[in-house]
Amino acid sequence: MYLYDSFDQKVVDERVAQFREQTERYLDGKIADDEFLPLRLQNGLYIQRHAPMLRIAIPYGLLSSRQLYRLADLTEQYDKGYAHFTTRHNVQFNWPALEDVPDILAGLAEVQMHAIQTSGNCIRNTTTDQFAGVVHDEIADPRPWCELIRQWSTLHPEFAFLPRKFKIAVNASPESDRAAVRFHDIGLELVRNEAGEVGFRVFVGGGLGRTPLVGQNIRDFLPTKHLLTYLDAILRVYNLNGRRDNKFKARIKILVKALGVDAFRDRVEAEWAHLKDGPGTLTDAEIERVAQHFVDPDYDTLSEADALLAEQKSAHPGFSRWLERNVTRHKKPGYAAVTLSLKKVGYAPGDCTSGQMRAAAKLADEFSLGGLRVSHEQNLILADVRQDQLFDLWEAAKQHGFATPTIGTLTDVICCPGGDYCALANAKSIPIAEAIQAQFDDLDYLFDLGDIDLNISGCMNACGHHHIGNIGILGVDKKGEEFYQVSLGGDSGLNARVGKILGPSFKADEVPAVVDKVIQVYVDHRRPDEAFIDTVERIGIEPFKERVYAKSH
Amino acid sequence: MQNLIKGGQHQEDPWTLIEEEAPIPATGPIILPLALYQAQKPEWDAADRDIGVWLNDEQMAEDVTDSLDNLALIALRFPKFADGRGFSKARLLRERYGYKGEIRAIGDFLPDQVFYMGRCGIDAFACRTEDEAMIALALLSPFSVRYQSGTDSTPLFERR
Repeated sequence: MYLYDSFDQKVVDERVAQFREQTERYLDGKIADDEFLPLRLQNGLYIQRHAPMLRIAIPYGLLSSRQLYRLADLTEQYDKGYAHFTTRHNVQFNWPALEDVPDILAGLAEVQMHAIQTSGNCIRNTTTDQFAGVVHDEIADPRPWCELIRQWSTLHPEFAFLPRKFKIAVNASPESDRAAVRFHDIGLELVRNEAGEVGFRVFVGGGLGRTPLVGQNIRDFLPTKHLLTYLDAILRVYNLNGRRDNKFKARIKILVKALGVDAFRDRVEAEWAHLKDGPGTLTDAEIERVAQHFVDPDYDTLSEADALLAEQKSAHPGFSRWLERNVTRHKKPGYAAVTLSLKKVGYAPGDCTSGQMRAAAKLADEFSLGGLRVSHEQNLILADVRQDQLFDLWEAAKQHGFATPTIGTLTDVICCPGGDYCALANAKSIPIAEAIQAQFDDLDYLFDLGDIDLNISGCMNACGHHHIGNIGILGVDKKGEEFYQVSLGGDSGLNARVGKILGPSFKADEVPAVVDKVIQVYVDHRRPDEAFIDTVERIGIEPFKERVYAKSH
Repeated sequence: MQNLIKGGQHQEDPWTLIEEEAPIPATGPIILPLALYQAQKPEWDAADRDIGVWLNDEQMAEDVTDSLDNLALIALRFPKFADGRGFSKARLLRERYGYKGEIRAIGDFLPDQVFYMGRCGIDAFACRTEDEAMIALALLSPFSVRYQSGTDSTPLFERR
């Protein structure tokens, strides 16, 4: 992973000093609440329902064991001994005291972490595939590009006060999109042109929230050295032209929609004509310098451990299930990537105690070269595990509640903190996730159902990505009561699609039965080996509607 | 005005900012509303005094590019500190149109924004209060490292 040099370290250290001074001025009453707001937000600090919430960046999902140990220490020293992994490569502390935040940031800076621009109307943390660098079908490793974007966007002087927040994601896999790039303000897809050169396909104007939209292609091939000047051009067009009169219409997607993608593209190209080949143009030396941090580790020369795994599988059905759901193919023979589940029934999705953090860090040291990833599905990944050690890892993961073998299934729920924590939420989301997990506790049945994304958001802001869940659940407020709207057919991947709303919303206690009926319709209609999303696509939502809203006799 | 920061120090302000429809003093440097300047551009350009203009939030850098040689100062009015359009306008004036005169931030901005403003080419800050001017003075350069290019530096990667 990327290691800071003295320049990078100085940036985070000076950021801590800056925020310490700002916090002191605020506590002295010298900054008004509304003026402190952007300053604290750009350091990840929200004022929440119960206490402030601090959102810490895990840039493009990479975390070292040392960093995770530090997070564990900080949650105990300044919080309640747990934290929440989000859907955007961040981790949140839910109970810090405002006065302590500069010290927390200083503790993070010591391990090359920060909370810079994790909130506010600025360029946020860049996200990518949790399996970046280890999947077999990647065009090129997206992580160096994510780091280059991180540095470019960090304290960018021109784009700190945009009309609204701005999110960038990078995907490098032609066969799948685990980064949901078409649902970002800018989505970048690494591609190869006919000459075999690597570049970016650029999508703009995707997003969730109140107006879910799929991003549109504005450039088929951008040579890599022009990445930052092209981003500057897009951001400048947005900064000058995006709406500032209505926060619900301020995202770049609204500007792209209003102008039309062709007119928007023309404006970007006109702006870029001035910036292209200018000072922001990346040099080969810089690309190489950053790429050096992401070269393959010293993998052992191994062959696939098929025979050993077959033997272990037949002796241990539980291991077999875990292997099927929680273990992902690795580009190197004899290795695998393992997902440590943070979806144990009875625990809030994405929540992790300090004890679990230390346990995961220890597993990373023992089994995966000291590195971890955070996925947007709110799980942890050990990306470099020897196949002949998978069984030992499974045994160890079970002890810490990480081995729930449900990755990608209905109960691997993506879920925002919801009304239990968040001041914006209309409704609770965690209890809904728990009720669904409790309803579908039969592992054989879950396996038979296969891949189903179920996403829950407690409000329109869509932190739980409900629009792009195969099954999406949205908390809504009806005259002070919490209701839930269900949508079907959302897809975050290459076939990017926003789900369709099934119909009138439900009370909380009805939701598990509704999901059950939806699943029954799928089971009744599916063809052999047809995934849930494909059945929904084929038969449409009418049969689901009929079953769910049928009068009981 | 006692609230002006320029050239890294607290300064006396020789300029008079003319609001829309306000009386104009007979002598001395004045910062005119853009529309007022444009309405009588030949007269103002011929006047024997320093002339500047101020742009409101909707007026863009392109609206003054035909007058840059005649203007000793361009002020960008921030309608609200959260409105970041002025940052892009300043960069365009400096980097694209080569404006060499003073670019001044006026209106509703925070002392905490002067570092970024300076990196975009704004070199004078008419702060809201004298207290804020003193704070702004201390916040001109909280960072010694600049990743990106700005009007003050090339990108860091060229020096790594």
